[in-house]
Amino acid sequence: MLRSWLQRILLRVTQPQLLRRRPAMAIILIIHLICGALLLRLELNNAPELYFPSDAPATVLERELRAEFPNDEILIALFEGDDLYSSEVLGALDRVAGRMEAHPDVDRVFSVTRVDHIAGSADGFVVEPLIDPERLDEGTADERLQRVLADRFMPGWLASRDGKVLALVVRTHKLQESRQRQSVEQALYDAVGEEAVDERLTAVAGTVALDAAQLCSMVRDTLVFTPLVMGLGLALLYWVVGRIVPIVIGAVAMSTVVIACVGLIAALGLPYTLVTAMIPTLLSAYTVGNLLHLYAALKRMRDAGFRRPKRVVFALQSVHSPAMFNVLTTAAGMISLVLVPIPPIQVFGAISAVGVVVIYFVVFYLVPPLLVKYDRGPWPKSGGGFAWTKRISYAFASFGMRRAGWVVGGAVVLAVAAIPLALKVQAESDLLKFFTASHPLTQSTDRVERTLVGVTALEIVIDGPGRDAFKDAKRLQAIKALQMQVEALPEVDRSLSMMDIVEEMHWAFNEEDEAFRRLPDDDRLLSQLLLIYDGRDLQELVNNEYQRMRILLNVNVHGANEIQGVIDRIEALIATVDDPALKWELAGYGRLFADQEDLLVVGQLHSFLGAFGQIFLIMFLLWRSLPAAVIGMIPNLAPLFFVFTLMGGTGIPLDMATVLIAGVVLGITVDDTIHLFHNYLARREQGRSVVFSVARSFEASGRAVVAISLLLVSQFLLLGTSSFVPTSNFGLLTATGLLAGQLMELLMLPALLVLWGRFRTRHRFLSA
Amino acid sequence: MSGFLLAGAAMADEAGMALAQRVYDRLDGDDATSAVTMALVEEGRSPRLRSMLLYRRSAPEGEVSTLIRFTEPADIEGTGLLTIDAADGASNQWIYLPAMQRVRRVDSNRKGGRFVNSDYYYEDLRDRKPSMDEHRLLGREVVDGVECDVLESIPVEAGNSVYKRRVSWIDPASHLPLRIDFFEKDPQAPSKRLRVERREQVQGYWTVMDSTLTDLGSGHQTRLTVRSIAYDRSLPERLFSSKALEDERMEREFRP
Repeated sequence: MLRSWLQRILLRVTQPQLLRRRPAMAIILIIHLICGALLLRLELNNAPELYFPSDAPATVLERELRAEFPNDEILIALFEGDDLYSSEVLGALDRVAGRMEAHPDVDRVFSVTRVDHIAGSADGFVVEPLIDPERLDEGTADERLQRVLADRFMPGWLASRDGKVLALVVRTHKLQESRQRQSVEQALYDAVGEEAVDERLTAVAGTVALDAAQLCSMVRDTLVFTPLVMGLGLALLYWVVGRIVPIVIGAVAMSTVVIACVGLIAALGLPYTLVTAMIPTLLSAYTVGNLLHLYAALKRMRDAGFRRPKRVVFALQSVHSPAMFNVLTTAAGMISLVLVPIPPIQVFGAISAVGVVVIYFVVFYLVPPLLVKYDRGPWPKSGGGFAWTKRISYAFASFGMRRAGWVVGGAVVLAVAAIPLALKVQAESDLLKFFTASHPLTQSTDRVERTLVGVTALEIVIDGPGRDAFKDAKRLQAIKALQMQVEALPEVDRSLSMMDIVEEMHWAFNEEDEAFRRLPDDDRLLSQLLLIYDGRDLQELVNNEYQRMRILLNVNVHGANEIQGVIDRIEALIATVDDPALKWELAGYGRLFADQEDLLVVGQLHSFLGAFGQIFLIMFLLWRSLPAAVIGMIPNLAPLFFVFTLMGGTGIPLDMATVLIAGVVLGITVDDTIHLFHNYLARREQGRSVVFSVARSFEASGRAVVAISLLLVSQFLLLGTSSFVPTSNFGLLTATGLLAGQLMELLMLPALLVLWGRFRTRHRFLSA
Repeated sequence: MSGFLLAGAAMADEAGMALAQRVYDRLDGDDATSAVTMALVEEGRSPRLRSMLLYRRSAPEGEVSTLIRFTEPADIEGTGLLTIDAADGASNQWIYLPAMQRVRRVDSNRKGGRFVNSDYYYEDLRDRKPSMDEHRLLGREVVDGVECDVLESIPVEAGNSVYKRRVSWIDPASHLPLRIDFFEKDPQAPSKRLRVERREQVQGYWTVMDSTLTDLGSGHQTRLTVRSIAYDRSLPERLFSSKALEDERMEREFRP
């Protein structure tokens, strides 16, 4: 009973019924209406925290820290000019700061008019505004400049040493969305414009600007490249099939697939990130590939003289079986990305896998009724613009067969020679490198770091053995010694800790005697200075229990590897501190990115093994032959190796965009193998020779396979023109991988089949 | 201290101004001496306790002097703070650190500076004249079973307070604010809230015996509990001098 029920389902699945036109159109319409409505609630968000698993140690520490201490997310505005210390400009900058402080997402604004200055006098001690905005009419610009430069904390942070640069640092609350960051950045531009200091604003940088710029690039790329890739796909499809109606139907199919998948992202409440933004282009390109397989079969049925609806049914039947396995292998390649422990990459993998299934449903269930109804005219006899692909595929296959040993040997030699390059690939999370050198953000960051300090935030978090652990003068002195060693590292531009504040109070309480600009030796004095400190900065550096403190660092490197190098050096210094009661950790934005490198490497390995294992299993089930599955996998692994070689040779890192490529390329290139192998095995089962079977299958499927590859390569190459580096790298490397996969398919697969045939013949002969 | 704070908190429509003046003029003796416990309360942690002695003296000409001496814990014992608020609104403040044996004048006009890492700002502790704010009666609301007048106070000059506005719930019988909401950044969302937990009449004067000031952002609380209080003990003027601040012995005889 169960068996017959399963057989009926299998038959139903493997031989799709031709739907009626009205239900098909109704489904298409419903998908567009529902998913179109869902698009309205699509959350465009590329917030950095989305890229970190919630249970990663760095993320857990980050959550703990932010519960006690302020956020480390900032927006830096750099103002330059010779009159910055004039009362007019300082007044305007203070008003800009005031406007920014009123923004609901802003926690605190640092500027020379809004920070405290600790000072001492003959009889007093004062914590006062560094520059009092209400008393700007007193004193001269030069006096104000001297006061700022004489402050312990300002030079290099909010003011350049030459007096020509002033910074305004906006610190936000913990933000969840990129749009909030865009809003903060826009508020800054509005305030600067309203206070007429826009001519002096020369740079806007920091993590807020970075995320806002990424969201902007991501939205622009989605709006530009999705229609462009779809348009190019349709144009190339027209060139191949030479008929307008199938193109219109193709456009409907692409639109249905893309809107369904993006609608699904919205329905699940998942954010649309720079990684998931690549889904529409990927799926629209892959839809064209599947359509071309169907159209190629349709043309063969037309050429064979079948009329509607039979020609559509027969075309469906002829490509359906390999197409179904294509769906399985491609979905397997995509779903393998859920093994990368970075949430947006997992969403990309899962939604793309669903998208591949949607493509199958659209191309094999929804498109055929439309073809039956509307595709009435004649198809061109010549075979369209890609007629030459047949000759090419056959020429490569012939060469592969004739020089099988050379081809395989050559490939092995090349692969061995390229190993050092492939091993050079480095995992890297440097969000700044997502932008070109000419991008305003890159230039702004460079300008900030040249005139002030590095923008990467690192924190040394120290936990003491209990309440008031940091009211111990000796302990503070030991930690301060470490802080000075850390500050001496060339990558560390600035450090700030509670020790600095205490030193400054000690100095001010002693009439600004330089001999007292140090930590007190007496615990009681330390406690009393801490008791009377009434500013805000101390609470940002040590918790109310005086049990956890942090040393804030401004680091001038951005990439995960460089940051990890700094972390390693700091940890080596920490190891020399002789206080076993203390627990040390590195935290902050920089630490998160340093840790992401490990996630990428482990994730790439897992996803690759996952994709490899699943696809190998599917091939094995399809052909029920271990050697066939091995032969099928080899030409598909080669392009991945080639992509890694290229990345190693050109210095393109493994990052959030390039980590996608292995799963995508493996998932797509294996389709060609399945089509070619399927034909080959069918002929072998008919008792044909190896060479005849290879030659005929390349003759029959080679054209569609080459044409589809070229279509996909062109579409991904188009992405390569993006000025947003992740999109560009993803496009270029996927195109390169697909092209390499195509070459391997045409050259190596025939060679391997021939060698395998020879081996089997010899084996049989020897056995006999 | 709460009484001191609350007296200063009240403050324009005519009825509002009159109410603010009544709160300010509330009888609270010529002087007061109290032993107070300050508990800094943070969720999930045991409270941090400090003991202190407070001496307040109101001079007939309108000057208000306050001396605060910490007695516990040991590491801050003897630390003192002297504040003299002149009748014209000017304020002077000195700090004494026993570990340094030194008195230092501190900036008294600082807004938003925290008093000994508590949720109180120095501004909350100073005498605030009703004329420094515009007052408006918002209506009546019940707080802890008492129907209170709701008074809104907005600084006349934005620069003279860290707060954008304050809303006080005033008990018409005692003229004590039973609740005050403080608005710092957002004039619609309070950042701190003071609640009177317990009040008593001591020597005929209404006295806040127990109050809690909550930072509504962090949940951190500062609870002030009066252990004992005595009014009208004829505290001498010399008790409120830099010398007395430096020499604990001078105020020992006046301890409650």
